[in-house]
Amino acid sequence: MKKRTVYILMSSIVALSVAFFAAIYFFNLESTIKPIVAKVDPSGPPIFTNALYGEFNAPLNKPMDVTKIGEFVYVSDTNNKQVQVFDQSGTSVFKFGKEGTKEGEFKFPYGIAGDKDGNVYVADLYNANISIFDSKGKFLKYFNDKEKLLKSPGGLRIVDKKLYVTDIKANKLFVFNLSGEKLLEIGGAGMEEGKFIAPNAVAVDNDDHIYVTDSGNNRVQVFDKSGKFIKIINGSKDGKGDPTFLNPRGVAVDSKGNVFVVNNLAHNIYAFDKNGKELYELGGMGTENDKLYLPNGLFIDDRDTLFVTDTINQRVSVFY
Amino acid sequence: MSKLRIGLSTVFMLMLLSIFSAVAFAEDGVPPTSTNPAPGIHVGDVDNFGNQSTHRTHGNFQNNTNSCANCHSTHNGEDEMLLMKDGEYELCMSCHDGTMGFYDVTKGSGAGTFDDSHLSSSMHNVDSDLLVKQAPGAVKNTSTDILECSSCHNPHGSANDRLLKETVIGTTPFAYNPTTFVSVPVGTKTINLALTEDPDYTAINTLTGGGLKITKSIGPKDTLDKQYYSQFCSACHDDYYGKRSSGRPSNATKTDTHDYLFSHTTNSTSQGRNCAACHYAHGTDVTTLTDALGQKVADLTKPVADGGKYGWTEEKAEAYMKDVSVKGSSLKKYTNMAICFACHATSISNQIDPKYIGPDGRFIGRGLIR
Repeated sequence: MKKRTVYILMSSIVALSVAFFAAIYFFNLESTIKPIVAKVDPSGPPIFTNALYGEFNAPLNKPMDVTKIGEFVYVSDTNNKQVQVFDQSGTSVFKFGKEGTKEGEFKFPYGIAGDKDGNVYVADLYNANISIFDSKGKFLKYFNDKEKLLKSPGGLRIVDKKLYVTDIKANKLFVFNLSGEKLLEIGGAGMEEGKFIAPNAVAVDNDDHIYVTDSGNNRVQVFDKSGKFIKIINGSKDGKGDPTFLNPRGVAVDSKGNVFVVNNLAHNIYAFDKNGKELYELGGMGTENDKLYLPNGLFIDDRDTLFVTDTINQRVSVFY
Repeated sequence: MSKLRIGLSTVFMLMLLSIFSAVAFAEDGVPPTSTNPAPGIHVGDVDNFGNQSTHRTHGNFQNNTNSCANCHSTHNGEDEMLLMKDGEYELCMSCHDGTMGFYDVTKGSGAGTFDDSHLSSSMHNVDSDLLVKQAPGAVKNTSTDILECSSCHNPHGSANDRLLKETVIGTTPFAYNPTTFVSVPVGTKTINLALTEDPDYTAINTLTGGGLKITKSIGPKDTLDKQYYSQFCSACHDDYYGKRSSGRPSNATKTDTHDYLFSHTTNSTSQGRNCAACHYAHGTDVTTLTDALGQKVADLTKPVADGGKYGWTEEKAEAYMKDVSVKGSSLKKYTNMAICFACHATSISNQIDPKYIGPDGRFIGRGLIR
């Protein structure tokens, strides 16, 4: 090749590059070009970011549920019969509770939730009560279940001054106001719509729809705020086919209305869009960072950060 | 030229293939995974016979299952069944901890309890790295397997009630005909338990038609079941199986009769002469123990106003029921040696308060003994 041709080729490459970047600059195309280079798909699956383990000498033992109240993450550390509290960086800040049946004691701390004052509500499956603590873990009182309805409280969430609690043995969901008056009751044992077998978790979305994990029936049922059955999510198309869930546990809804269901025996989390279409799966059996091993509780905060209790790996995994 | 054409056609075909596969891929929204291997096929869709699956808690897997990996490792198993022992107890306890409502093994049942939070607790300590050969009375049993839930139960199903295994150690069936000594082959039901539908779960039981029922047990059902039940226990506790007058089986290996050991009869069809007469299978604690009258702590603390006889405080009742035996509560159904008294009282003492004697002329609590 002649020297002259090489020079022409080289200078045209330079000229084209200059023209390309000049065009981007003068026509303000940065914002259009950038996503092509490093596009983060907002509808894509959340990514594992970190895990909360607790102290080396006193790790979590069968963490069953998790919630975020203010800036702290509260975990029901079930086999240790206590609640462990973590800061955002995953450091265990303090713990409260010990084994027993008296005030401030637990036998099987399960569902955990916070009210707007930062008080912590802990459902105890065996003691058949809900204890209320201040945000520092000081026992305040028992939730005043005026009609003494609760036999085996499991899943617990507080949304808009309403307390949603599943009763596993009674196969029911109860909704109370915070002074303990029953507002709504759904369920009873059964496989039909609106009936449950061992409901383990509850969530409420922005439309006040209530999601109840019906573990024994391998499905999640969705109700409107008056308790009217809307639909079933079980992994099949329209929720009408056979379930794909294996012992579903925690359930949560993000700000876009996507529903996340923990599949305990399949060690993963299924995500569905608002219409029930399956989006993706998180986890899978394992001990690596983004894996899960018998996961149970699930909480999604207002920034759509996902917290899942990973019982055998003795941690709470955070996905964002 | 033609070579070039073929080359270009191949490239074009590959392009089309990739485009269409991408579309097919996108149809179900997600890449194939173990639980959603192909569009429209999910775990649980099809059973082993190609039918629409009905969920079965134990023992049914679909043809493309990945659930085996919950317990087994193809090349890194910890025993000849390729089991991964770590996590077995937790796996079982992810349902049997009360979160499924029924069959909560931490609560007192016909098998006792797995709960070490109370006084006088003792149990078959699964998840503690105990070896099977460490069983009391193990002479022939030299198994180095770790004691787990699966030491006694077969999660894949069993001919016996409560998924009790048909082979306990190795692959030899534990059961043999007590008269002919002929081994009972695997697949034959030998342990029938006295099961009754649990009234606490009537709501669920009425739903299942002829299917799964939530039941409770009071022990082996009939006379032969008692013998098979004892044979089951003696698969590990072999030297405790026998007739009192014959002495323990290991006596046969001893030359000096002064070294002979004797055991309460465990191989008989009679009441009180099988393992389940005195012991729970899972474990015991102060809440499941009873006194010679068959009373538990719950009976003693029941307020008089609610029909209770004593109305004792929890502390008082637990102090009364506490097992003080040197060797611990040994999974017993009765506290201390109260079961001996319940059975033998009338033959060893003539000063028993008549109010403790039942219509059969025996201690009232004796009626509870299988």
